[in-house]
Amino acid sequence: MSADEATDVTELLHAWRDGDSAAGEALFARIYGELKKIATAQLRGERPGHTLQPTAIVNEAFLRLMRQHGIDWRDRAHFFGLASTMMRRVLVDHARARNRLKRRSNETPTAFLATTGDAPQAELIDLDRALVRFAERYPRQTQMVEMRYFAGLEIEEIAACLDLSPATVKRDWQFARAWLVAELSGGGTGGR
Amino acid sequence: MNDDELPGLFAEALALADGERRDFLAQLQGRDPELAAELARLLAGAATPSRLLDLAPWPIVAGEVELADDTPPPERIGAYRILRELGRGGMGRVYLAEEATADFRRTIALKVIDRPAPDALRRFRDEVRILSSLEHPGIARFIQGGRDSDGTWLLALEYIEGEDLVAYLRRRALPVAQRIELFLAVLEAVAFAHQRGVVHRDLKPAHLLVGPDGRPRLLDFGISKLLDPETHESLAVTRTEARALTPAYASPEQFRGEPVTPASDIYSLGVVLYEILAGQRPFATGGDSRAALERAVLATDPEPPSQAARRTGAADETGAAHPSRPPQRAFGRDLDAICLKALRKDPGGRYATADEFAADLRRFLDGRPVLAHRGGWRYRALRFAGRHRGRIATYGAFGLALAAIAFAWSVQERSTMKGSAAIGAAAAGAQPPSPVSVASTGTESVAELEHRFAAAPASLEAGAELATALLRDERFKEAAVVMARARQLPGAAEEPLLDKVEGLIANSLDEPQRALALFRRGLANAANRGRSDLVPSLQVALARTLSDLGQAVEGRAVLLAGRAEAERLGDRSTLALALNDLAVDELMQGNLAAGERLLEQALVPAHSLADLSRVGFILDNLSGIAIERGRPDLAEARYREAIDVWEKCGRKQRAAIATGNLALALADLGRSTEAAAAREAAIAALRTFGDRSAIAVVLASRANAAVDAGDLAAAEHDTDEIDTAAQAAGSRESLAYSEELRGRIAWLRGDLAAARRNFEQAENMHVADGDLDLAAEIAILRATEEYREGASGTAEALLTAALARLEGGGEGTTAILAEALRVGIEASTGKLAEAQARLARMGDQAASPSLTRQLAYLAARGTLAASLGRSEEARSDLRRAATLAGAGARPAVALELKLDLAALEHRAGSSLGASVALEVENAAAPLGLHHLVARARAFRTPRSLQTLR
Repeated sequence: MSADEATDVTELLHAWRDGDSAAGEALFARIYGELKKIATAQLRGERPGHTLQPTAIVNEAFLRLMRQHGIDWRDRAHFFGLASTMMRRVLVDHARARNRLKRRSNETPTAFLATTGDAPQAELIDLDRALVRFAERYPRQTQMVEMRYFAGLEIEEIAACLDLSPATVKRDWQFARAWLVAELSGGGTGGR
Repeated sequence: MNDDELPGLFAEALALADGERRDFLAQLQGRDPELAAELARLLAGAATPSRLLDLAPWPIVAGEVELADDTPPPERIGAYRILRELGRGGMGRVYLAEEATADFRRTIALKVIDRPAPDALRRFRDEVRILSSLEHPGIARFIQGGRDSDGTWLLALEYIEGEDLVAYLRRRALPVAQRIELFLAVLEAVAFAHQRGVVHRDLKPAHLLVGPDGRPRLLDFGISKLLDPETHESLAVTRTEARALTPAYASPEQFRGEPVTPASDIYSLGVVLYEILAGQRPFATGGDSRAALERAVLATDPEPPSQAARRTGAADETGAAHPSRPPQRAFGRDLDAICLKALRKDPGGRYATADEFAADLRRFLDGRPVLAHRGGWRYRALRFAGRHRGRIATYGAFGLALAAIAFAWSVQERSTMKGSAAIGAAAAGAQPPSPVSVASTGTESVAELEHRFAAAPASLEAGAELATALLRDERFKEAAVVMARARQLPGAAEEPLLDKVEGLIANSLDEPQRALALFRRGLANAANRGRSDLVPSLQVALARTLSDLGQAVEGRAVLLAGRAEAERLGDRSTLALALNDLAVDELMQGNLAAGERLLEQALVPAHSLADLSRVGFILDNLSGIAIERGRPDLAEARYREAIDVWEKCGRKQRAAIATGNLALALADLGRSTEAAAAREAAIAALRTFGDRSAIAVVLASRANAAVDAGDLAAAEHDTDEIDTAAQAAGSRESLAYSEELRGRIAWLRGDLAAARRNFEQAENMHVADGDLDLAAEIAILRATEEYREGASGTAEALLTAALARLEGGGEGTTAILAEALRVGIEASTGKLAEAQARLARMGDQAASPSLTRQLAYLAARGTLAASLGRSEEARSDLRRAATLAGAGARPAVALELKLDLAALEHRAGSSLGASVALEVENAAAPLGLHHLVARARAFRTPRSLQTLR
């Protein structure tokens, strides 16, 4: 990485933090590949049975950026906010790929995403679709869901990142969770 | 309807109780049926558990990501036959393989690079180089590394078929001492690697396998780094790693992506030790997410492992909660301190080497004071004081002030500086400041100094003075801020005064390594700038820090140099301090007389200082020593002087504590009425200060006096109050006092089983707190009682265990009591020659001014005389002891001594025994001392009749 690129990432991150969504897009492209690479490498590197967390992957990505681009430690929360959206894409893309593979090979592959040993890829894809619908009506809450659900941020961190009170974030999460559960259980909340 | 309305309504409805919620929905139904239906669905969703949503973020079970990549392992690689795949790494795979030649056959772990990137090969070569330098029984053996004949890169390692350290220990539920022994073996291996400049960087239980031989082995130096021998920082810091750190064991600096040093391994080992002791990892309660863990590692202090263990029941003190497990030795403050030192956020605050870590653990195992405690010097002084606090057989608790003093003294002295007023003049080549000006700067208020610094913001001296004053008020953080401001001033970098003050602040903030560097630099700066006046105080400060860090030899040398320098320059403040520190060194080694001499010397310069509090500290310390040396007469005079000094300084709380201690001296002089008056005055004064721990000690002393006086109801009343206060304050030490008292009361009432439980409990509490000396005192008390029950063997065993716990203190009263008891045991088990020699070694304690010593000595001498058939001498000694005890308001003690006499008469077949026993019975019965009554009854039947039955 050149020094220019380093400044670039830092500046983009700051611009995005200050509300420049184009900067977010630019960063997105740059960091997505990094996240995917780390996820794959980590999963391959660990012995079977060892577990990793999406948060760990996001964090590793951040550590790398910090070392390579000199990103300030204080930008961590903002980076996490951004990375959570990317993590969602990484994980959902992967789930889609696994699903295709599974259908094709008709054998049970070793679990990639698993909670209790079986793979919730299909559920994850459904959740992603539900989130798309949720986002149409509640964009702010969607970002919060991504941070909490895909990057494992805590309420307080999300609050700091979105500049909200922890109580608000907690309320938003309860709401989003209820909405998504209702949506996924087939009830749907209507096509509005 | 409105989407924006829904979240608010949902929150509102969620907060309602079930019935109210129904009403809420019904109401909404009337206004907007659609919205009401949607809200109802949401509320149902809120009540439905969802695996997908509630487990987020999900753990990912690692497995093969790409099916295409899943080729079966080859049958052979080079000279090795492949048995199965063990795992995959970023650059290749690891197989379990067999190496078979004509002569032998062994199983190995074989690492193979099958994705040879240039970087991977370089790292592979690094690993080969590192591993081949690490030949140690505690590290998985390196067998072969390099390129095979067909060009494949191979690394062959010893294959350890073992269990990870934590799982191994959990399964076996070994006692704490054995767990630590195993951990020490790990430390030894890590120390070996560090000495060769290798940092492991990923130490965790999975990399610490215990083999079938029960020895732990270190595995996987895969991400280890070679260190720069100069800076001890890892080379190639910027090299990216495809491999994740293990968050649960990663140090704060690893989370931050900062350079990794041996201190990072020390941290990871601290986590492992914590897990071994507490049954869980340090930040286990903060939530499972990586973010929560990271925040905890970076920002919060872990709970002491002993507390966590109590909560989880992992190291239950009695083992009672785990009937299947062996009773485990309790661990407490010492191990907490060791573990938490390894877990400090600041790498410089941790053990500097694995060897230091190990040495402190060995100190714990040997029952010696550990160095890990915050402010080691302070801690050691406290430990010395602790020895004087307990209560033994027939004399009251004493020395409570000593603990408080040593602490206050060290805080005060660490923050005392001199010469700041004269800096400008000294820099211009003037004389060092006079002691008077020194002392006066120490008495100015923070407000005055703040004002002065504000008026002269460019003055280094004003800043240093203000920082010093803040330090004296224990406002460490503010002091550090002031110093940071002063450091911005021109010339600050070369100013030794600032080095000194900043070093004192660093010490107070528990950063001894930084303090060490500052004091050393200060000495260099002082030499460069001709500030010889600052040298002695810098030397003494340096000596303390060295001694805190366990570098006792250098510390002592520097301290002696500091004393000489202070004497030469007439720096009396520093001289007093140096002499005090030298005295503490002597006291620590049990050299009471030498310590006393040094403190007496320290009084001389201290008296010439305007700040009298220093005299107060020294007098308090001297008084405590006087009591321990069996000189309550001297102690009385010194405590009275100390009270006077404290009053003069306006330090009423210290005066009250000294008064409480005066009571102990008076009681030991047999002046019970005066003692009681002093005790009441102390309790009343301490209550106004709300000093709960001091009140507990004085109450314990009053309760012990009540037991000695046979007033069990009064003793019980005080014991209850101690209990209540101890529970409110969460003070285990105070609880131990009340347990001990309950034991004494139960014993005299005849419930020996309950009493034994109480004593054991009290002893365990002291051990758990690391107060081995107090535990030893209780064991001696128990031994005395068991001996009187005729259980010489039990008494002997208790005594031996107690003596093992008493460090030093050979001249002290505790040791005298143990010796006296041993004389009795030897005399009654036919070891007459030994008993005679031992009694002679004790010196003539009958002439001691200490009632406690007289009683113990007379009892021992009487018992021995009886065993030698000299009944007249025996009778005379025991009668005299009983009379003395009675006169000292210790009737219960007198009755016990009379029972000793009755036992002797009884054994000799004299009818006198029966009459003495009757006398005891008549006196003990109305007091409710049932046990003494029961024992007395046994002697009322002549021996001849007993044997006929």
